[in-house]
Amino acid sequence: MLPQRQAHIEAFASRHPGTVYPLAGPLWTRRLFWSGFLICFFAASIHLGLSFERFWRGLGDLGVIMRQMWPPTHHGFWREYIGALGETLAMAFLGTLAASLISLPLGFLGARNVVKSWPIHFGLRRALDVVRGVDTLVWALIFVSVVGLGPFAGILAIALNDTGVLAKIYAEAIENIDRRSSEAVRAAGGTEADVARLAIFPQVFPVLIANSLYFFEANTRSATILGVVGAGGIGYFLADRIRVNAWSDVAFIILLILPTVAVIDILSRWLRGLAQGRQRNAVMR
Amino acid sequence: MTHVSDAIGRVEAARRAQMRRTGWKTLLFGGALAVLIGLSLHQGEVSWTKFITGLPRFGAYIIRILPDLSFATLGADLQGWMWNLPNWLKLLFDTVLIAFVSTVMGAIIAFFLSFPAARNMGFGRVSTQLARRFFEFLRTVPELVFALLFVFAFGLGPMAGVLAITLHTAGVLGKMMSEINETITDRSLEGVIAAGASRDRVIRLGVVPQVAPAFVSYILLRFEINVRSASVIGLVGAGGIGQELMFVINQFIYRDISAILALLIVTVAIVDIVSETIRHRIIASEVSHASATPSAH
Amino acid sequence: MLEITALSRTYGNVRALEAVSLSVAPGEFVGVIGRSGAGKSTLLRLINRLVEPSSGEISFNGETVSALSGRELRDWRRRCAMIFQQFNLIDRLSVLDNVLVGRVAMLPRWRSWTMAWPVADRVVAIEALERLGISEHALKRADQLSGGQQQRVAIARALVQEPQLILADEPVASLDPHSTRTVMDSLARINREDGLTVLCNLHHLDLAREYCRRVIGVAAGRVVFDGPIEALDAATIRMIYGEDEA
Repeated sequence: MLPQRQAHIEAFASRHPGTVYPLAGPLWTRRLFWSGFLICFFAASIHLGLSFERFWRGLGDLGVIMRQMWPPTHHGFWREYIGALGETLAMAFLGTLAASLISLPLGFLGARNVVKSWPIHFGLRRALDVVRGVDTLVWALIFVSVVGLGPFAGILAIALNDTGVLAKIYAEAIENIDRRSSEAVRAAGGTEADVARLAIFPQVFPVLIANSLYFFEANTRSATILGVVGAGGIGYFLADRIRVNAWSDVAFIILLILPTVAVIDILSRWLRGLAQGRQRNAVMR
Repeated sequence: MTHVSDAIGRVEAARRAQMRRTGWKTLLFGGALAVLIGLSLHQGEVSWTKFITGLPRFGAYIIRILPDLSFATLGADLQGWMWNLPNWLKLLFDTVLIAFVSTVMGAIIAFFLSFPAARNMGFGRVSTQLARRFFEFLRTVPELVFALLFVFAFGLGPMAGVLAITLHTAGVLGKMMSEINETITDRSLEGVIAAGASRDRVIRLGVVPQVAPAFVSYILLRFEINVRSASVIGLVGAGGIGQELMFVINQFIYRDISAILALLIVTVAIVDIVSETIRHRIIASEVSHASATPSAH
Repeated sequence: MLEITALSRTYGNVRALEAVSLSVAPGEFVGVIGRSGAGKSTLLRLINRLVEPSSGEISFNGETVSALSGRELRDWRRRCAMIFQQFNLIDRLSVLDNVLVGRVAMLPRWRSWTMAWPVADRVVAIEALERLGISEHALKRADQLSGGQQQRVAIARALVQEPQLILADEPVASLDPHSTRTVMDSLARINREDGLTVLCNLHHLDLAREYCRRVIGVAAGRVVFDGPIEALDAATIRMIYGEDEA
């Protein structure tokens, strides 16, 4: 480089640090972050006993399983499998329905603009946090030991966990609604019950429908595995056939589950689209 | 008078027409719903007697698992309740690590496949469809099913759980990331292509800087969810706190149930708070940059 | 010397460009004029190979560039730098990084992957920014600059590609009059000082009159005029722009 040009560049570099030479601070922060991240990742992997050697060996076993999965068969149990699948859908449906019905009043109680006393909604929200913090599968395990094996335990588990999530969503939806309409109802001499029914409910209803459908979709997925702990549905057969290494049956069951979940997804997306379409029309009007 | 009654007549007619139009729809939906409920009640083996007898038993169960804590002897009570704390904390630590490792690995798979899975990256229909179907498969198979299979193939322990959550995470994140990639306009891609960059560099320079904040925030969100997943995959023997939890529930060791659940809830809450803080910081920096943008001349 | 022979591009049944032949000598500043949708943009994109020709040939200094692929195609793209109407910068990268994108074809892969640009390349980028009078903004995010400034960043990116040809596709169509002037002046100066060939699409005739010695008129995918700006008469202008706009 020409000395004159060199001097010019050095002058520019001192006037605008970070242009010609990268700043040492951010550079080292970045290097430190990424090396720290890598160290954490590998340390965690070693701590958990992950190793390539185990991975390759397991992959071989997995290959054996895969080969035995083909062709998928039902060994004459297809009626039981289809029935269990229906049970799975029923569990998801009833669980979601129950959760939607329970969480709506709880949502009102948990909303700061409806219930003014803070101990109520604070207590309620913490209780909901706890309910939500325990996974559906754990609730299912608990309900199995309370009401016994079968789909009823699964329904209760889905209903309880979803109530925790849905009530929080509804409470937040209610808190975020347009308050002018509530004031209008109050100004017209309406009681608090009138406000809830006439001003808040119509605004929250589309949120409710969309969420319930969305949760039905998600619950169909989780209901397929509740049977693993004995809470009804197709998961029981799945876990059992894996236990006895009936791999072709396992493949058959998985091939039953996948399209069912896909169909429910499409159906729910379509219905949600309908609900949202109505909502959009309402805005346009 | 006639004017007024005319007006009333018109409004009433319109209302009746409206009712006729929406009425049968409402009826149809109501009927379908009723049939569905009936079928489900039958299929789900729900009965009132079960419900009536089950509810108090659940109440009793909850009361029985609650710890004996009195204010006078709080320290000793807590110590008794959390008698196995070191072991549980180790298992919880493992659980968080399972979530961490599998989120990272799943995110890496999702990241690299999200570009062929996006329609606007010029990878061709075949690779795009292949990548999308692959993600769909990973997403649709529940984690627990993967975990059941992997426990058989890779043996009991965290490795099966890590692989199961990794695959599911790859499926979910891959779909989200490919959708984010599709928001990238051809304009910013062309700027890099026209400079003579190969496709991997077009993606690195033209796409990654634009999508990175959204990617990171989805990955963090997924990490929060994966901590929950990691806590239950232990139920099928795939590592973490789940196995211990299943043991104490099945053996009716009531006090331990509440102790483990309490620790688990606290752990999940801490992870959520940390991750949420980072996510909000990312969003806030995005918003501040966007508002600093002058309108283009 | 850029030579184009019988170049055509069709989209389904639509003929975007039909049998275009022309040649451009080194150091020329050529304006391509025409209505929007006439095929000006397609012509420039064909030259940079952002669009593949349906038939015909493009050659540069005797090398058939319309047949290049892979590494050679990328090197050709580096040699014919492109400037776009919407600037096509990467919003979230700094101005400096955006300019350095112009160096990708010359740097090893790991450099672009880590964005650890060599100091020598950084210097080249800063000098390009200084030439365009925006080096003060080097570390700002690209989307924080005004439109005119962003277009000058894009020109700086084109410059660091060390091109032999600059293709400017409606570079001032989204800019206000003041920015239009600074951007067009920059292009003219680069053409004059570096002897770079410039092919510039322009919608407005006034700008072409001011900056270009030679203009090419495109209408409905065909070249209908090619010659010095002084030779452009009212009848030709009507042919290029149609009855209503002339």
